[in-house]
Amino acid sequence: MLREWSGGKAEALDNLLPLVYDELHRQAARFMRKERAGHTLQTTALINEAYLKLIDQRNVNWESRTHFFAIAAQAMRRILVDYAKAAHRKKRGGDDIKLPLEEAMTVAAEETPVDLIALDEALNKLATRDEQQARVVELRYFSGLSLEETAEALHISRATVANDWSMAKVWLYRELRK
Amino acid sequence: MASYQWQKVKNLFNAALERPRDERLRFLDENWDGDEAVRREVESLLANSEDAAVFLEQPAVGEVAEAIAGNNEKLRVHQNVSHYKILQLLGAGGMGEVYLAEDTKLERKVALKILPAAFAQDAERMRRFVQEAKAVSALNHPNILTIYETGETDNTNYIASEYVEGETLGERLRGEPMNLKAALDVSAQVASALQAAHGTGIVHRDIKPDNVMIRPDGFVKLLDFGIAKLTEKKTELIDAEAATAIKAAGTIPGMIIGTANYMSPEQASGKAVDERSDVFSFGLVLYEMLTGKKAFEGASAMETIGLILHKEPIPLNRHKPDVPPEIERIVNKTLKKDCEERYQTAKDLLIDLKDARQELEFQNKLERSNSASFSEPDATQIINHAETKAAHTTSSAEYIVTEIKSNKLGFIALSVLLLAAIGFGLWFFSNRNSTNANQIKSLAILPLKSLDASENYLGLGIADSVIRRVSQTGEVTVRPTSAVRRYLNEETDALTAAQQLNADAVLEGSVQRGGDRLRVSVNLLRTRDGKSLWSDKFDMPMTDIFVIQDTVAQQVASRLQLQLDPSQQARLTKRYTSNPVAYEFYVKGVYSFDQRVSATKSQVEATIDFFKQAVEADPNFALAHAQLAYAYALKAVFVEPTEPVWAERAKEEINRAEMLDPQLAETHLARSMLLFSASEGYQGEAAVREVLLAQQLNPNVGYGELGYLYIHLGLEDLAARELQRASEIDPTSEYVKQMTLTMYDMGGKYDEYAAHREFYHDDYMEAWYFMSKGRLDEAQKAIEEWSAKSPNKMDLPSKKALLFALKGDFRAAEAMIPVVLSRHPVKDPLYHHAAYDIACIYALEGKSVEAVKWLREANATGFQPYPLFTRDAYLNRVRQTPEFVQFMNEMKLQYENYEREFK
Repeated sequence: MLREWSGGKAEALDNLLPLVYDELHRQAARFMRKERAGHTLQTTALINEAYLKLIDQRNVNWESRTHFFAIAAQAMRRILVDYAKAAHRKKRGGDDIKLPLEEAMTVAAEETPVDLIALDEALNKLATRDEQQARVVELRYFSGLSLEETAEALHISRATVANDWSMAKVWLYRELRK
Repeated sequence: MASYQWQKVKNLFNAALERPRDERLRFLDENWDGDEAVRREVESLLANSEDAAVFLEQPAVGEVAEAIAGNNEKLRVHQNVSHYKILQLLGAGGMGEVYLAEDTKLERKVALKILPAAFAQDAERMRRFVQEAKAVSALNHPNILTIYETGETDNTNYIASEYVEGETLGERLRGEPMNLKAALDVSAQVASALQAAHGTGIVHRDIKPDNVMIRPDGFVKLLDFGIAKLTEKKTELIDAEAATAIKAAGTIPGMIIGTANYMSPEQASGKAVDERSDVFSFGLVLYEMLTGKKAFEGASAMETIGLILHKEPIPLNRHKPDVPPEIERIVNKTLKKDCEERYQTAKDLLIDLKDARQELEFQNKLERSNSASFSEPDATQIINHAETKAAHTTSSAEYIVTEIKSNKLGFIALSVLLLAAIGFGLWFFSNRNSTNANQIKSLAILPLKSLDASENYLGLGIADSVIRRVSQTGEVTVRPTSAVRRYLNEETDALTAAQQLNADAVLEGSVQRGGDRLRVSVNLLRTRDGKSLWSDKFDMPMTDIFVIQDTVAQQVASRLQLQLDPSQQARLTKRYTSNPVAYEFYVKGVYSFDQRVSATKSQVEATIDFFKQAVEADPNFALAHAQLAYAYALKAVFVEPTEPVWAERAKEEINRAEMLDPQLAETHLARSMLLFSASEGYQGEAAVREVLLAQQLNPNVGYGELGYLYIHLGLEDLAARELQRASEIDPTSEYVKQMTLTMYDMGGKYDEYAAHREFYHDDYMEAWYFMSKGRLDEAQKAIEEWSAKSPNKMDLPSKKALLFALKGDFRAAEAMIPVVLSRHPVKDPLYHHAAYDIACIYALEGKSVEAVKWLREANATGFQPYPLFTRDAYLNRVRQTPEFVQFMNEMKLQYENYEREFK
């Protein structure tokens, strides 16, 4: 399987989806029981890592490892955005995916949720300007990796991750307010 | 914003952010290079930086946790989903929520499984969801949950199934062991369910206590084939669009799904899984039933996986010293890391479980009737003696012996037990041996001889329907109608026919029509000794012909002692029409129909005509629609490939047949044929999947078709395997012989080709063979002989052209190319062979660009044997050119995809 990940094939993402689904389901259930989400998400990162260890340690170079994390993060992103879309559709009677601005604002005022659909689009836009920043957001926000883990996953320094993360957050925040 | 500007923004923003808020603007002033756009952007970002501080700091999962967790019970209770009224949430898991609901139409309680809404956007999940429903409902096994319906409403996908009251095995266990008898009862029922599922190619993949439901009366139901997808390569195809989607997504090797605790090592390491993976998971469940402990339990899922992969579980008897060794042996055998060492089938496992259960009952009786005691040394002596004697009875005897040791039973009882043990062993083995020797594994059902010459088709019709019924059970290999058809007009005695067909048993008979009455007599013979296993006579009104067919099929099954489960039983007596007129036309259609390799245009047309009349007489006659679809497909692909109307007709009939009865193998075979044709763009993978589906419905069909497809995809091993199987099913098949030759031809395996050709036909060799050997004069001679004998032979021009090229006369060779192409329009099924020959001609000439162009053309039209491309000497001259190398790289990827999907 890892060979495929390192081969960078599109289907690797699909292969990973069921695994990620089930893990997310467990996490979400814990989240609903008010456990600290941060903790559970670290578990995910651990799982990915352990899984890597399990496969064939000797032959895993950092590129394929990076690739694995990237793919996992993309998978999570895709699933979470899909859930958000499905939830929207339910609310909107299956018509339009996008909320009208006013409604989005009202919702935001209540409990400041993040509009994952809009974020997803903004993140695509960010990726065209700065691929690395977008990857950092995927790893940090969508798969819950810490700064250190993100740095390791992307094979860049922790400081770079911290810089990318804070700028990407601001950029995305502004983009969503537009 | 240009990327250099973006870089400047990044640098400035990050540097400014490190400074206290009130110093940032000054810092900007000092370090800004005058680029207005950069300045504006940095200021704008800085202005938002405070507000954005907490933004995205909580992970995304929280935003949709509620939706993911499926915690929307309140939303659903009392709601209606289609015509189901939700009553109560029964459970929720990664694959969806299950509700108790009321079917308001049929007024019964059902279990309604709702798929998470997000899954609907995931085509792969959806596909699997539909597959689950189809596959499971086809089983109809008493220990498998019955599916009533699947559907979609308001973006919600659901499965309605039988509602089982009771508790799950997980709830029953709660960390406590069950008693031995109860554990064996439950496990035998689960194994029986698995045996049935495996028989149709379905692997459960998620055997765990939570998926085993125990009813209050002790009846067990295996639930949730939610992640059971048809075994890897048997991926379902829904339509051309989905096929493309699947193609785009590539193959999906064994992905990690399921609960970690009950994974098999192959599952845990992401490898492809088969039936034996279920055997392992089953073993883990049995272990837990016996001990109350999970065999593998780590602190985390990953640790558990590590244990599954590398550690042995704590021996059963350490948890439970009184567990019989036989049971321990069974559990150990299910839990072998190497699937080759496990029980290979659930059937074998079930046999051992049942034996163990029987033995336990037997022993309990004995123990109850015993109270005497005896001195230990004597007992040991006898035990030793007995052990040598009963060594071959394996652990059954050991088990009893151990019991004796621990219980210090009396001498008399001991002797009784030892005798019983030895006797059991003997019975056990003789029984097994005798079943092996007498077992009838293959059967030929000959056309019933008509005693009045004009009614020939009736005898074939009865044979055909009995063949269909018995072969669909999958319990015995039945020679297909095409193999026995020739005996209709031959005066061959039944046993000789059986030997020719290499069948263990043969059914012969006669049919006579007198007015509107029908007299049928049948006789089932064992080939080995000619013994009659059953014979019978029927005298019934013509309208009861279906009753006769049912009876004959059932009798044959029972005389051959086929163990049929309810779904096989249902297939055995399935009726496709009750309209005698429609049936008569149908049988005439079957009669006029021959194997596709030798079918002539007029045969195909006559066949179409009969089946058309059959469906006109009974528009709901699904089987006739399916056969008509097949005949149309044949016409579309092989008879008139340039006429698009036939493919359209075939599709119409496929749809109609499928709508009326989704369980017909013929429909899938027809679709497969269409898919691998010019009109559908030679969708090889999709075509293979269709045949695999057909085989699930009727395990006796499709091997020749698979061989044909695998040959074209270059999957040589698989092609050889399938053709081998095809020739076992029908040793007389010309089609299979033809395909075997084609396999060697398209593999560039000249010597094997020659050997088989001689073996099959005993005639002169093809020019192609001589050319491959460089014997050009003989090739020339062979071509001349052909030209004289059959100047219209399709591939004559291309072989002539190839010969010119081999002789170095490239001008003459190239001049032949237009002739070759005029023989084979693009839609012709042989076009890709012509294209390949043309490629070879150019390659011999050293014209690499043209050669690759034609190779691509051949590949695009279904000629994709990568191994041939790698070894064909005709291509050697251009092998090093960049375009050829590029082409081969692409072919290699394509080939590896095929391998991954189907191997």
